[in-house]
Amino acid sequence: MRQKFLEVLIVFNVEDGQLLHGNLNFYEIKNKFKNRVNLQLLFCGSNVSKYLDNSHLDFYGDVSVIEDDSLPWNNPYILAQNISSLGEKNFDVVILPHSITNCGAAAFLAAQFSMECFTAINDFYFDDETLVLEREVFGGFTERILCKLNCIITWLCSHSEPCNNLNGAKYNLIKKSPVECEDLCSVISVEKAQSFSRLSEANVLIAVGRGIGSLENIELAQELALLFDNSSIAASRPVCDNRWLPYKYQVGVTGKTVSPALYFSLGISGSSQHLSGMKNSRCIVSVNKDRYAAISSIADYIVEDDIFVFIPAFIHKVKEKKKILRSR
Amino acid sequence: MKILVCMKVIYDGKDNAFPDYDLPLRINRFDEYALEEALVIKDKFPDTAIDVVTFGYSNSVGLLKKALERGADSLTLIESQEELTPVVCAKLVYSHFKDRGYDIIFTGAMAEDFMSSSFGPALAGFFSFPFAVAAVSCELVNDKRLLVRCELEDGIAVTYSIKLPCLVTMQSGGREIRYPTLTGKLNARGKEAFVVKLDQKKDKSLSYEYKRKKAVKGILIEGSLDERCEYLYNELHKRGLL
Ligand SMILES: Cc1cc2nc3c(=O)[nH]c(=O)nc-3n(C[C@H](O)[C@H](O)[C@H](O)COP(=O)(O)OP(=O)(O)OC[C@H]3O[C@@H](n4cnc5c(N)ncnc54)[C@H](O)[C@@H]3O)c2cc1C
Ligand SMILES: Nc1ncnc2c1ncn2[C@@H]1O[C@H](COP(=O)(O)O)[C@@H](O)[C@H]1O
Repeated sequence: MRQKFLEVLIVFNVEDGQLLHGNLNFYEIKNKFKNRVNLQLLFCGSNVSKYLDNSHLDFYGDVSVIEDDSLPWNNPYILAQNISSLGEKNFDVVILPHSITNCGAAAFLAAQFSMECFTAINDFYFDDETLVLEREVFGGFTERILCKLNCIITWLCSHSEPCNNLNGAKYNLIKKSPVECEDLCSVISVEKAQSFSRLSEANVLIAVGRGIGSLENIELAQELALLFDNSSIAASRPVCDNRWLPYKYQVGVTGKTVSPALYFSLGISGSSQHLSGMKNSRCIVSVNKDRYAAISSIADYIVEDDIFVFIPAFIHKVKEKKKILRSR
Repeated sequence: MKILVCMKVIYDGKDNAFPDYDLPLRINRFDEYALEEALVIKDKFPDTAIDVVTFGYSNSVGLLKKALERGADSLTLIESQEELTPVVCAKLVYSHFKDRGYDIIFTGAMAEDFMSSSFGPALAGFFSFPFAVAAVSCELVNDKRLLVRCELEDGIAVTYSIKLPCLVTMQSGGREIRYPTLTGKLNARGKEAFVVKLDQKKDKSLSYEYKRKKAVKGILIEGSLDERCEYLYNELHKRGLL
């Protein structure tokens, strides 16, 4: 039996000549589908031409470009409307790099195209006419989804650098967003949070999560931080939401991205939004009552214990050791 | 103003037995923020009606009475014992509520159990409403538009102006969640949840499998409290960190 080629669309979002949400390697994607694919690329955004000129396109296939330099493209509704303007063509799979914006666009499109949508996919492969998707869910589990195509996914790929060479592609350039929906949802302002260099400069971060329990207990983390040179405290989002620490201390997808020599976490479960901001730390210690908290999947040292039992004992131990070292 | 708030009740997987369905239930945290945003609008425009809908287990109703106590006007349970995908859930919610003439729909930014962040935008897709995701606060302007502040990747905050009717997914960080007042509790007393029974068979094109992740990658430090402190100190000392 002759096997059908799959129609796969990959969507890239470009803002002012820069890829917005990471890159996807389309050779890798072809391989994942065992080369049984017709790949189509779609670049949506502002100054896309500038991006394409700088990346040397080595792609033989359809490349569509929807370019409107007058729009900010941090807008899932506008992005989704523009992707859907490509028309009724039936795609078996649509792939976007994973991001908050792209998740929104993907799910909206799925509803409009009568497709399924799966987000934050860690890995996928194609086997026996079935797409097998893997993603992380609550409590450190992996969910495996077997799906019969006709779906949109957002992929947590790890490529941030350009990894495609697009020389020789045929473009189908659509200048100016074809969709007149800006009045329905327009961007009024885009602000970048003020940078707080303390977090990126520190060699050691003592990061507190909801497990720290209350404002008063932050002191314990500060006491631990004092034992390390060039250290600072940091926090997960709920800690900042509870006003136990200001937002400038927040690590994660909507906070700061850090990569200290030591990331010492106290009562942090390790949601994907938190991990994406600290997974490149050189050494990770996790103190958590639950040894299977998701952060254990990336931590180097796991202490399964109550913060309020382990940390006071550890502080005491370090002080003792320092005293011995000094007295030598 | 007519507002629909979607709230999910989830199993609390803290004891790491997930998905063992004997765990206690709780309201998805982000959905408390979705309700709060609707209540803030109702504070300003008291003739606002807030309907809460949940799709899921029959024992969710007890917990969601809290939403009525906080100030929502009605509660509907679309009962299903099966875990359907967010897009399928959104379609079912759409088919029950499409003719109600909602001006605004609020959902949470993400359900903390399956972490999809796709139910809300999919619901917007079925309604063909403009939408925004990961909002921290909203402000109604002239009954016609919603000013929505969203926090996206890399510390970028985007403010959108969206024409009603629209849908917004809420995350934490914008507001304090209010507690029910005594009057709220009294008002909620007489209110019953509307229950819609579903006989939707699971979409057969999909099947789910869970496997326990071999999550512990690094070294699990064992021994007595003192031994573990000693071990961790020595490791960090070797690495020049202490
Ligand atoms: C759009 C969006 C953006 C987001 N951006 C971010 C972001 O940038 N950064 C971020 O951090 N989050 C972000 N979040 C939130 C994220 O989804 C999680 O809700 C959050 O990271 C959880 O924080 P936590 O680990 O501190 O709390 P929890 O998940 O509640 O974990 C608390 C942990 O503490 C442990 N614990 C409790 N008590 C003790 C004790 N006494 N001793 C030891 N351990 C204990 C528990 O076992 C648990 O593992 C975002 C969410 C959305 C939807
Ligand atoms: N079963 C459900 N019942 C009611 N609301 C839901 C349900 N599933 C998801 N939602 C809403 O959609 C948001 C995002 O969910 P998800 O896309 O599953 O991560 C949640 O915060 C809820 O507001």
